[in-house]
Formats: sequence, C-alpha cells, structure tokens
Amino acid sequence: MKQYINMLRMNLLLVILLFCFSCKKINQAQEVNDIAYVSINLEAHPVSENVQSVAGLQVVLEDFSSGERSEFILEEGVTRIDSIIPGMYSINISGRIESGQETYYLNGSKVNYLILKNEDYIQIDVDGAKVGPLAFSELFYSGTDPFYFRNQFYEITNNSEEMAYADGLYFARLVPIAATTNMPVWPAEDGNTYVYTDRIWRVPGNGNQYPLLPGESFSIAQFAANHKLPQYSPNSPIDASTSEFEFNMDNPNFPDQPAVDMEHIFFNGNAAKGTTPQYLTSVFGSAFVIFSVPEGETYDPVGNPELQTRDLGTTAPTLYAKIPRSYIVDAVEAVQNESMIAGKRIPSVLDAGITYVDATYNSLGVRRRKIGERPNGGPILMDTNNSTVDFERKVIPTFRYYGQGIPAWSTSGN
Amino acid sequence: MYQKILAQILAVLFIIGMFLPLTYAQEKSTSTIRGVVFEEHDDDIIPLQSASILVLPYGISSVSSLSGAFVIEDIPNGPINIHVSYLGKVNLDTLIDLHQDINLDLTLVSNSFRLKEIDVTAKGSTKTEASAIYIGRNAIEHLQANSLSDVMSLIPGGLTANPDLTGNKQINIRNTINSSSNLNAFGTSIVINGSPVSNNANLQSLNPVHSGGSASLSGGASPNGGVDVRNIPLYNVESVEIIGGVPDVKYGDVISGTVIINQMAGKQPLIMEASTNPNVYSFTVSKGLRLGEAKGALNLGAEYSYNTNDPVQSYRFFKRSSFNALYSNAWLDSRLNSHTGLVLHYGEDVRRLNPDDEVTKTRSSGRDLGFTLNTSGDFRPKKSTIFRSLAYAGRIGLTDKDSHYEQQYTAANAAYAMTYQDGTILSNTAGRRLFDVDGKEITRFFPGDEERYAIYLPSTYLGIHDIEGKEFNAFLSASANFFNQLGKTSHSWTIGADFKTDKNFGAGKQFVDSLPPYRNLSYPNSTFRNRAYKDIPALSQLGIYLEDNIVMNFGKHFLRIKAGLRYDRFSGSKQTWSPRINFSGDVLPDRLVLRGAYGLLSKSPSLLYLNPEPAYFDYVNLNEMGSGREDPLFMTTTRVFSTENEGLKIAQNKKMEAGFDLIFGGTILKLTLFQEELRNGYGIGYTTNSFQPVQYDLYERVSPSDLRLELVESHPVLAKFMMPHNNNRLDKWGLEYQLNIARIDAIRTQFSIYGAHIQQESYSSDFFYYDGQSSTGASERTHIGLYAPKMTSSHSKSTVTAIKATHNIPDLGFVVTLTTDITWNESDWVVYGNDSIPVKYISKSDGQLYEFDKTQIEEPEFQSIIRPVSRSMELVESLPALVNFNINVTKEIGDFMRLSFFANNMFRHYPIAQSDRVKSNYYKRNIPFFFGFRVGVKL
Repeated sequence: MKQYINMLRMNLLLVILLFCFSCKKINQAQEVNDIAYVSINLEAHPVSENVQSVAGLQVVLEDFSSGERSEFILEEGVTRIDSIIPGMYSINISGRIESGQETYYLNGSKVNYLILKNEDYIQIDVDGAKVGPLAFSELFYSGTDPFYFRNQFYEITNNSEEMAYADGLYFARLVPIAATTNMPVWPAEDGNTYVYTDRIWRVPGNGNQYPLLPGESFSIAQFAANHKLPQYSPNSPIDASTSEFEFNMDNPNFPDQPAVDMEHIFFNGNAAKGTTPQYLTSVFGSAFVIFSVPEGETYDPVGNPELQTRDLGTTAPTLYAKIPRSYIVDAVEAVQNESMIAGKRIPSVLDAGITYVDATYNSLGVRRRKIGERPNGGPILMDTNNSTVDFERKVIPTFRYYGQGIPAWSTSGN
Repeated sequence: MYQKILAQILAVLFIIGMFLPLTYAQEKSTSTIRGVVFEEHDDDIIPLQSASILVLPYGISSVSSLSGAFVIEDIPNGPINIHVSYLGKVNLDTLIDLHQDINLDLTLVSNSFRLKEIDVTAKGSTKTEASAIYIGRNAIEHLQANSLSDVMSLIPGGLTANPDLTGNKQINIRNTINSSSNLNAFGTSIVINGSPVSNNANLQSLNPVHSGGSASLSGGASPNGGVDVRNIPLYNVESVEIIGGVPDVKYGDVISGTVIINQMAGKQPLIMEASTNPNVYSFTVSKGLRLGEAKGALNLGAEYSYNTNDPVQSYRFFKRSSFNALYSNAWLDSRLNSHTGLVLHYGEDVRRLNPDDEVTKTRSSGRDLGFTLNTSGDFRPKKSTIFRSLAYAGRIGLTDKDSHYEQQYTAANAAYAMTYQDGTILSNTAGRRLFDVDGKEITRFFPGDEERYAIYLPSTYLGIHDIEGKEFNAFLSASANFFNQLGKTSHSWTIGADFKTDKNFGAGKQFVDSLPPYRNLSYPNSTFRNRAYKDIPALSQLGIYLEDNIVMNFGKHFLRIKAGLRYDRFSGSKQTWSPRINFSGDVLPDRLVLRGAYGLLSKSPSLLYLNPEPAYFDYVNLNEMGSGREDPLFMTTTRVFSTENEGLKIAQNKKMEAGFDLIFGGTILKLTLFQEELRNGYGIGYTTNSFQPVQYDLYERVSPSDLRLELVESHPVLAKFMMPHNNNRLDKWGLEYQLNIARIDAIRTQFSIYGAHIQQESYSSDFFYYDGQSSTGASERTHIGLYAPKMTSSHSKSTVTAIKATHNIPDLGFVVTLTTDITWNESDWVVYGNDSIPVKYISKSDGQLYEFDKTQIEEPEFQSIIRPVSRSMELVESLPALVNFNINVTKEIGDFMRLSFFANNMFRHYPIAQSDRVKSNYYKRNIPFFFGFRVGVKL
C-alpha cells in the first residue's frame, strides 16, 4: 500500500513538473532552437497606367514586435525574398521610378501581415504621383503677430536635373481652406480622379519666359510689398518686395507692386476675381498644390462645366473647380497641428503626411529638407511625397534659405 | 378700389348709427343694473372700491365707488355678459338675460393657486370681438416667464421657449416656427396701460446703407425690428392680451398684431420674489398701497435681473433693473378714473474683454436708460345719455441709448478721407495740392476741407465706435364713446383721435477719424462717416377713427358687428385709410358662434427708413503707401450719395378671418382660419437708384522724383449702396385652434389643446440685382443684371400642437402642468422664377436702366451679369414630427409663500433628423434641457 502511495506521489510530481515545463512561453521565433526560415514571392502592381515597371523600388519588411527589419530592392516581375523569420510584418514599398519623361514617387504597403507560410505569394498595389520637377521649397502662411497675414509667400524650387519652366504653372489651395473634420461632399461619380479648389491662379508666360535651372527658385507672395513698413507689420520676418510674383486682387487699398501678377483663372465658376480683398490662404495652414496641364490636354474650369461642382454637403451655390490628380506637380498638406491629420484634404497618394507650425501669427513657416547639394551650390531637396518627412517645421521664413539660384529673369536682387 | 367702397359703406353705417336714433322715438327696451362689488376678507366680505365693471357685448363700463357700488343705466334688454375685474382677484364673468332693472351683489375672490379653477393657460379673450388671447397673472407666474416673449408659448402656434434673457427678444405674431422676422416684430404694437411703446426712433445701427440696418450695435432692439421686450419685466403685469386678428381701429401703427399689457393697479400685499435658472437670476419686490379714503392707490415695484449669456462665457451678460410706480384713483363719485405711472428702466448688454481673446480684443456694451410717464383714464357723465364716456391715454418716454463697441481690426489697411462733401479729392497731407503735367490741379477742396486729408489706415488698429441715441416717444389719444339704440339694434360707437411722435435727440454715430469701423468688403470703396441724430426731423402721425359696435338680437340669436374706419396721416404727407370689421353671430344659441373679420392695418416707416444716412465712398486714386518711399503719395476722391427714398409708401397688411366657437358646458373649442397679405413691407436693400455711376481715375507720378501726376487709367464703375424700400411682400394663411376642456373633477385635471398650422410665402416685388462677377478693381467692374421680380420666393410651413394637462389640488395649493409640444411638421423651400436671364441691366457707364435683349447674352460685356443657376433650395426640407415634454409645478405654502419649478425638455429628448436637402447633414433638434426655480413671499 505504501509502495502504491509512493508511486502515486512520484506520478503526481511528474505531472506537476511536466505541467510546469509545458507552460514555458515562446515569445519570438528566435527563442526556439531551430528556426524554420521561410521565403516569400513579392509582386508590386503599379496602379497608375503611366507606370509600366516598378523594378528598383525599395522594399522594407519590419516586424515591430521583434525589431526584425530587412530591406530589399524590387526586381522585375516577382521578387523572391528568402530567409525571413516568420512573424507579423509591415511591408512597405517606396521609391522613385522614371517613366517616360516623368518621375514618379510610388508607394504601397501591407500592414500587420502574417508571414508564416513558406513560398507565400504577396501582391501589393503601388501608387503614386509625379515628382517635380518643381517642388514647394518653403511655405509661409501663419502670418505675424499682431494678426497680420498679408506677408504669406510660397517658394518653389526646380528640384530636378533638367531646366524647368514656371510658365503656365497653376497654383491653388484645396477646400476646406483650413483643415477640418467636417469635410465637403463631392460628387460620388468623380471617384478618386480630382482634388477641389475654390480659386486657381497661373504663372503667366509664353512657355519659356520663366526658365528655372536646377536648384533655382522663385516665390509668389500674397502681396509683394515690404511688410516691415510701419503701416503693415514691422515685426514681419520678411520683406516680400523681392518676390517674383504676387496674387494681385486689384484692391486699391493694396496697390499693385512691381512683382509680376499671377493670372487669375477661376473663382466661383468665373474668371473674375470677385470682391475678396486679398488671396489669403488660411493662417492655420491650407492644402497647397501646384499643377501643370500635360501637353495635348486642355484645362478650362470656367468654360467646361464638367470641371465644376458644388459642395454637395451644403446648399451654398458656390462653384468649385476640379483639378485632375494626375496634373499635380507637388502638394503639401499644411494643418493646424499634429492632431489634425484627421482633416487631411490631399490624398495620401499625393502627400502621405502633414506639416504644421502649431500656431497662427507666430512668424514661422515650413521648409523642405535638403538632402544634397548640386555642383552649382544649389540644394537637392527631399521629395518623397510625404510632407511629414520632407518638411522641417516651425522655421523662420527666409527666401532661398539653401542658397537656391536666382533665375536670370528675376528682379529680386537676392 | 374695393377699400374705398368698403370705406363708404362704413361711413354710411356710422351716419345711420349716429343720426337715426335721434329721429325715432324709442320704446322702453333698456334696463339699469345697480350693484355692489365685494371682496372676501378674513371669512367676511367687504365692499371693493375701483373694481372695473364691463358690460359686454356693448362695451359699456363703470367702476365701483368707495362703497363698492356701481350703476349702469340704459343697457339694452337681452343677454349680456358682466365682466368684473380687480387686481389680484379672479375675473368674474356673469351671463345675465336682462329684462328689467336689477340689483347685483358681486363678490370677487382672491386669485391664488388654492382655487379649483385656476387660469394657468391662455384663454380666448371675451373683451374684444377680434380673435385674441388672454393670459392672466397665474399663467405668467406658473410659467416663470422672465420677459414678454416667454408667454408667447401660450398662444396657438406657440412652443415652449427657455426663459433666458440672452439677446434681443421681440414679438412675432402668427409666424411659422423658427422663422423669427424683424418685419413682423416691427409691425407688432405693444400697448402698456393704453399707450403703445415705440421703436420708431431707434437708430442704433452702425451702417444700415451697407449692411441692411439689421443689427443694433452691441445689443438691444434692432432698428428695423420690434421693441426689445426684455426691458418689459412681468412682475407687475396683471394680464396680457394678444390680438392676432383684426384689432379695433383705435390701434394704429401696427401691421402684425397687438399685445396689450395691463399693469397691476390697486391694493396688493408686499410680494418679494426670487427666481433662477441656468442663465438668469432675478429679484422683484412690489406692493400696492391704499392711500386712504378717496386718496387712491399707489403701486410700487422694483426688479433686478442678471443674465449670463452662456454659463461658460461669464464675460457676456445682460442685466436690467426697473422701478415702477402707478397711481390710480377715482374722482367725481368714481366717474373719473385714472392711472398714472412712472417707469424707470435700465438695461445693458455687456461683453467684457475676454482675456483669451487676443485676436479681436472685442468689448461692447449696449445700454438703455430711460423713463416713461404714462396716464390713462376715463370719464363718465353723471346721467346716462347717448354720450357714455370719454377715454384718454398718453405716454411720454425718453430713452438714452449708448452702444459702445471696440474691436482690434486686422488686415484693415483702407482709405479714409476726412471730408463729408461729395467730389472732394484729398491727399495724405493736410491742404496739399497735387497737379497734373499741365499744371492743372487734381486735388479738389471745398470750403471746410482745407485742413483735411486722406488717411491710409494701418493694418491693425483698435476701432472704437459709439452710437448715442436719445429716443423721445410721445403718444396721446382721446376717444368719446356713445351708445344708442335703433329699434332692436344697439350701437356702441366711438370717435377718437391719436397723435404719435418719435424723435431722436442723440449725438449719434461717433468715432475718431483715425479709428473708423472696419469697411464692408461687399461694397467696394464704401466707407463710414459720423452722423448726428439730433438733426433728423421727428416722425409724427395723426390718426382719426370711427367705430360702431352693433349688436342685434333675433329671439335667442344675436349678430354683432364691429366696424370701423381709421385714417392716418404721417410725416411727409403720406396717408392711409384702414377699414376694419369684425362680426359674429350664433347659429345655435350658447352652443355655436360663427365669426369673421376683415381689415387693413398700416404701419409707418421709422426714422431709419425715412431719414437714412448718406452713402460714402472713398476712391483711391493714387496709392504709394506700399512703395517704401520716404514721401509716399496717397490720394482719394470722396463721393456721397443720398439714400433717401422719396417714393416710400406706407406698409399695409390685409387680414381676413373666419372661424367658429363651439361651447359645451365649460368646454370651448375656438377655431380660426386666417389669411394675410402684407404689401409695401419695409426693408433696406437695392433699388434701381442704389447704383450710381462714378468715373474711377487712377494716377501715377510722372517720374519717381516728380510730384506731378498723370492719369494712367480711368474706368466707369457703379457705386453700390442700399436704400429703404417697400419691396417686401408676405402672404400667409393658417388655422388656429384652441380647445379648453372643462376641469375633470374626478382626476382634478384640466386639459387644453391648442396649436396652429401656418404657411407663408415671402418675396420681393422688386428686381433681383446681380453683380456677382464684379471685382474690387476698377477695371473689372460689371454692369448690374436685373432679374425679374419674384425671382425667388421663400416658402415655409409648420404645424404645431401643444397639449397641457393641468392637475391641481386646491387644498394643498398645488398645481402641476405637463405640457407636450408636438411639432407635426416644419418645412421650407424656395420656388424659383426666371433666375438665368436678366430682363434689364444698369449700365456701369452711365448708371441708366436699359432693357436686356436676349441676343446680348453671348456678348462678353454681358456674360458677367448672367448668374450661375443653382437651385439648391428648391427641394423641400421637411422635418418629421418632434415632441417636447415640459413640466411646471407651483406650490403655495400657507398664504405667505409660493414655490415654482419648471423643467423644459425634461426627458432631454434630442432626436436627430436627416436633412432632405443635403443628405450628409443632420439636425439635432429640440430646445436645450432647462430648468428653473422661483420663490415668492407675500407679507
């Protein structure tokens, strides 16, 4: 009987030991002695018809829980990637692609994707917009204390390796003019074809009147005057009388300055400017776009009712213009602060991020980061179509901060 | 034409009424009523002096003497209603079939919540033939009304409103819900102790010719609206009567409706009340003193209220205080009765500087400080003859209004020239003259302008503006009342006259030249100037009227006709005739009465419309202020245009009504179908004269170092401003109903159901003026496109019902009222006419009106006056049924204290409704949950 009891005790001890050992948790694949690496077959599918090949894009696989990160370059067709530790991965594809005469910045991703199966086939759509050749290099929209906003300006730099022309470049801010979560309602049939604006301007010129060499820049001011004058805003960080262009609203209270007037294209269904005293983009930050019309296409938002729409979320009769997304050369989403990402107006395919200066009238702007330098001293600017990454925030506004070249036609004297 | 015919018929009627009785011998068909009025006093009854006795339907009145006695002679035999009233007593209505002289002892009981029949709801008024609503003291107390606007929830079509004192409050009569109208309020007459209060001298608007004259600067009554009834506290109000139908002809200067307020007059214990709700706290004290035998009574009262506009915005508040004294007495054996009152009032809307408001640094205050003297009374001859009484009323009011506003303006660079004279051309240096290349002077100085100059305002400055108005209003009326019989027809007729004058003695609109108000961006080149109001002539109006109240009895049936004609003559040689008739007759005696009415009502324009300020424009001819020069030049041309409309007509509203009263015991159903047509409604807007041609010249220096100027551009433009006009029209019809069910004693509950369906259409009889594509710049101005009148007409309709269940336990002095407001439907929509092709245009070249030929539509010059068509309001926005539950409780403790509590939207019911018009929009409906408490002590 006693032997029986001892046997029972031994069995009980074994069961307890077995139970304890069996509870050992394995948190990561690396914690096991024998890791079974897997391979995946990754294929990126370009959404844009203008992009035929995606070879050369960078692939980043990242398992945030383990910290495992690896980078690869996409090949033509299916790219086989070996020796992946199974896990929950974020797969990001991004990079520049040259297609025809254009450069596109593409990206696509899969988030929280479980890679367990060997030889798994994964397809990811990659989409993106043209890159350059022109890009916003500095934006100053917040104004100056006390509540002076006429010193807004927008600097544009030729960030390509080729000669580019400012002639015919369109400028607009998208609606809502200030970021809000109360978004307009646009026609459902438009799908993802357009962005929408209340007013459009265009750089004048005959096509080759305003050339820009790589690294050269120009600026457009709301009012190209010396804002440091006492009757304006002595605290203003800039004197905009050096700007090459201005948005002249023909307001006699703000006399026309020597800067070249931007051409007014559209407001409320017409070419007329209306009685608004100035072209004010929000001091909270607007969604800025510059765009150009591809050769062979016409863009007439006044004459073509198909390019006009009301905000269907209101009864207001105001007509807005549609801008084809494929026309966008550069887009920057400026919002009030970090929390306003919910109010993004620019599709992430054009600008995946946001930028901000956190306050109004603080005399601070945003500036695109420099990633290199040209032989002539001009900057090479970061342009990943993600303004969170591409832009420095809360900078003191300065024209040609990176020493951008002054175009030959400019009268700025800088 | 038909009005003239009707006027002639009425005139004949009067002549018959006045003269025929003198030529016919009368049989003895009248009787005399003698009686004594008593009041209950400590389980006993004692005579009551100064009680009012009114014999209806004849309108013959008397007042009890010191001993409570009264005599009314020569009352036609037949059914009569004796209506007896006195302060703090329950009105006594007694129906008598009079056949012979009688003696009556009438005892009035004190009004309290310990009565079985308590009047906490509105009733149909018995004192007038017009369709009217009577609201007694108990109803006002039970509701815890803080201003006159709160009691409007008790009339058919009214909905429960939260009794705060935030913002200007005005009275609208017979409007669809949620469509408050300044014009409706402007045309509503509020009569206190027999004399109307007036908003005619109100000029507290900053810039009506460029804003439409809507809002008063810094709060208070709008000049184009009605009286701000927040300044009429209700603590000393005995009753309110609201006439939505056709009023008697003695009421003039009215187009919407008449609100009659009777203040407490007579003996009354000391009452102190305190009340509070989330916005308001208030204290009142009142007492009515009997000064001794034959010395009359003096009522004194004072009130203070403080309203925080929003509990989280303590820097915005309204406060009011008032003192009221009313002396009443009777002389000549109570044949001469009078009430004379003095009211001092102070009201102030304040916005203090919010420390967080660094952008605008706004602060404002709108203050009203005034006094009013009013008197009213009547005299009755000793011996009853055809002449029965003489009534009079008068009122003098002086209100000092000071609206102060200051705001830090930003982006304010603009021109401001100091001159007031048309055509003056000034530079930015006083007296500096500028010349062209030929040596010809470009600047132009008129006498007085030599030291003036043009200012280029800085981008940021603190603008400080004041409007000081001293409104003087006077009213005087007298009427003689006669009574006679023609066979079996009784005529109680009245001839009377009234005079009303309104004048503003204020210093007016004031600001210093360097700190003007912010320019109006919608009116290119427009600017402001100071204006003194004391130079504006007074508005006067004289009214004469005749009215006959005819009563005919046919066996057990009756027919009553009250017909009158009113003639008004206004300043500026304007005049109107206003015939009015109300009639009723029973189909089933004591069961079914049919009613009808027709009438024209007229309202004079106020000083705002009669004497609008000129429109000023400063055109910038040269602007070097942004150039950075050491000696920049700046030059302006000032243009001044009169905005007076010499063709302004008198606004008139035609009212028609038909209805019936159905009576079963104590249950009464009143139903009224009405129609109104308002014509010549006032407004401030565009007319064909409000676009004046100007040649806009732009100059430059000949060379940077040369002060001589050369003309570089010259463009024809139109100076655009607003003018008073008569173009507003409003057509309205509706159905009002009121069912008061007799108290069901078994459940101690009385039910009332009342409501209205109202449908209205408003539109302009003038053209629609379009310049939507014109720009600020001189070179891009357009012609003005004129689209056909009634291009758009706004429609709205609403159907509402209020159900009140009043449960009371007399022994406990306890009353609870549950009110269910049901909005069955509310809808609005716009009907569009020809909104795509103009019919005329005003040329920017010469300001003249031209016909628009459709073939011109393709010409570039005229493309800019073709308005884009967007009929986004065409779709009917129709909101579904909405229910709101409210509770009012009153409890009397002993005979010395009264406690009241209310909760509006007590279940916090906030339904969400999807917009029909914009599917992505949703409305959160219903009034905010609100509650309040009032305690009153009687000593």
